[in-house]
Amino acid sequence: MEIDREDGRTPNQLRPLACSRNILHRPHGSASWSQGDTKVLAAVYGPKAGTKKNENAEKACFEVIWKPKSGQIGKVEKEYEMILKRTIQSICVLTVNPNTTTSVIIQVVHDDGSLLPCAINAACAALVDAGIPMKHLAVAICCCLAENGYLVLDPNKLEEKKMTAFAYLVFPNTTLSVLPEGSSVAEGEPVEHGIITSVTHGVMSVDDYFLCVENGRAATASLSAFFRKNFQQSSSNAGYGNLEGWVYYTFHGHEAPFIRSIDTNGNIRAWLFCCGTSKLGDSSLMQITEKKGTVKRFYTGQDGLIKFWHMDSVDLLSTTDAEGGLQDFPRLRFDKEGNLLAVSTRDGFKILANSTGSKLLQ
Amino acid sequence: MEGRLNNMWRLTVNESKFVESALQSELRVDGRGLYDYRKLTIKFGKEYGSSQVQLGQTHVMAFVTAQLVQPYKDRPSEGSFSIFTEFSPMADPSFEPGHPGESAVELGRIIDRALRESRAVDTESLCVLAGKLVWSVRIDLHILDNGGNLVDAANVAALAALMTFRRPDCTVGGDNSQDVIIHPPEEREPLPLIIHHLPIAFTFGFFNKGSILVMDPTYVEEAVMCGRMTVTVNANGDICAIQKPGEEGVNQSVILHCLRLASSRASATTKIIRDAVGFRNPERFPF
Repeated sequence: MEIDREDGRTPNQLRPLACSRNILHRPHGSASWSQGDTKVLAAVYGPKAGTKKNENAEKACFEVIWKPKSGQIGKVEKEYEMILKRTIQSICVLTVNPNTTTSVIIQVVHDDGSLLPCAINAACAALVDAGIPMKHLAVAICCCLAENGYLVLDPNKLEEKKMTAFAYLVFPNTTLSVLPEGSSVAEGEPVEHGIITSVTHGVMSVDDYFLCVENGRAATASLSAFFRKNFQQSSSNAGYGNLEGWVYYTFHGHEAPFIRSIDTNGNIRAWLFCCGTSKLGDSSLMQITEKKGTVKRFYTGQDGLIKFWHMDSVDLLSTTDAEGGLQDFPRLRFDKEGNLLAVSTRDGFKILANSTGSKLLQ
Repeated sequence: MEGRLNNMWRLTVNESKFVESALQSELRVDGRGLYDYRKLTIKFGKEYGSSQVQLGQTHVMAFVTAQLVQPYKDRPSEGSFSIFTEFSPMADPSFEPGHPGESAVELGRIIDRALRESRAVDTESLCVLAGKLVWSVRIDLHILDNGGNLVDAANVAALAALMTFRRPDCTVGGDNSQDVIIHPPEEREPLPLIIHHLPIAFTFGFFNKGSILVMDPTYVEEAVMCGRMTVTVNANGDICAIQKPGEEGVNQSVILHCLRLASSRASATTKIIRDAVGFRNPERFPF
């Protein structure tokens, strides 16, 4: 027996999701998240010095400001702020920046049901855009109970009005690195179980609540996949500038850091280079074109030398043996600006520096 | 909280000197000419009366809602409208949440004066029952991103939202013509507001003791400039409002030059707004 929903969805189907990040210029991180017609804008201002009076100064503190579409801030908005703050506190790493305050500002653009989960998802996306250190993401979903006892996910405003009870549930979006004893290997990646936040309205039985949790968790798989796809896509189209940070990928069996290097003449070329040592043991430098994502060039070297190539040509620019002592397959790593290069040697490691880098070392 | 004040964005001496010396050679930091405006884009939300305006890096959202209230005693047959400005902390780290600061109030007053005193929005058509019930239109302006020149962007957002707003149709009936029935949008098509003309605001920044004039300042230029003036004109050549809040004294010829510049741009901006609205509501009344 299927329940008929007005917009033709199945009971467990979510509305179409859309997320865009980095839409505002002044905030350090911003994101807009829409589920169907419900749209929420979130902005993050990164860690500022000092915490509020009653907060623990040993940890980072978060401040949430909820702005409704029109009207004054009332009790409902204060409650949303509190829920959001506690949820964010549990997913962010609080010990990295102690005695700081990070502000998260939520602006409701349109409310068509399931507003708080939408805001939580938007806040997560904005925190990622700002680069706030987080343990994992949180995916939020709304499940509600109709009069005839059927469970419906992600209701819109009309459906919410007709429901007897609904629950906002927030799940962690993380995979388990260590499987608990005795658990069988499930299909796909084992996901951490647990609920970060749960807010209910109305009366529902215990069994119904557990059913909500189950259905909600099953649906978060699609939300997690959406998050992952959305973030991965934009990180490869990031702005052109200095060397970006480190993004770890496993590419064709080479576990090595990607260096994203940009032509300093300002030419719009961004190639991904992957340098490192493969499992088979040969060191190589691979260049991958941005658009196709395939290997364009493949340089190998295993003769105890560090080799330098110009970005444009295949020919070798120069080599150096760093005064000897290099392993056969040295591990290489650049620093963030590209001024220092650390290379592993037989007894430890050596640091090579260009003119700017040698000033840094002094 | 002193902590918040410590984290305000402050302009460095180098930056302000650079901006000023560049202006002396008629160069602006973002490469525009002195009287060039940034790109203006107007987008609309799903429901009636919501608009989102982007002027360069400045982002403003406007929402229009209406409610039936009792009219003012001295104007029993006229509706009313009010503007609420929200300087969201999202827009600028120095904006405090809570009650609006003086620049928020000033922005609201400039837009309010332009619409009200020049009778741009027809308030008599908002009357339902004289002396008892009139429509009160509320405009909420949310500043999302402060890239400079909030007044102009907020003004365009308010106008665009007002032009696309529809209020529910209502009929007066009953035994003694005192009962008012509000028709939901499914029953009867909601009605647009009657807007006679579009007052557009143009903001000028003065530098170097009033000798250098700039239109549409960015937030960096706003921190450097020594004076400002906002002129609200419409496409018919009427001056609806002028606001020059103190600061550096300026020569009369400069003021007249500003007025001329503003009126020459008014028709172009009016056309942008009308095209955007017409694209959204093709049946919008033509004027």
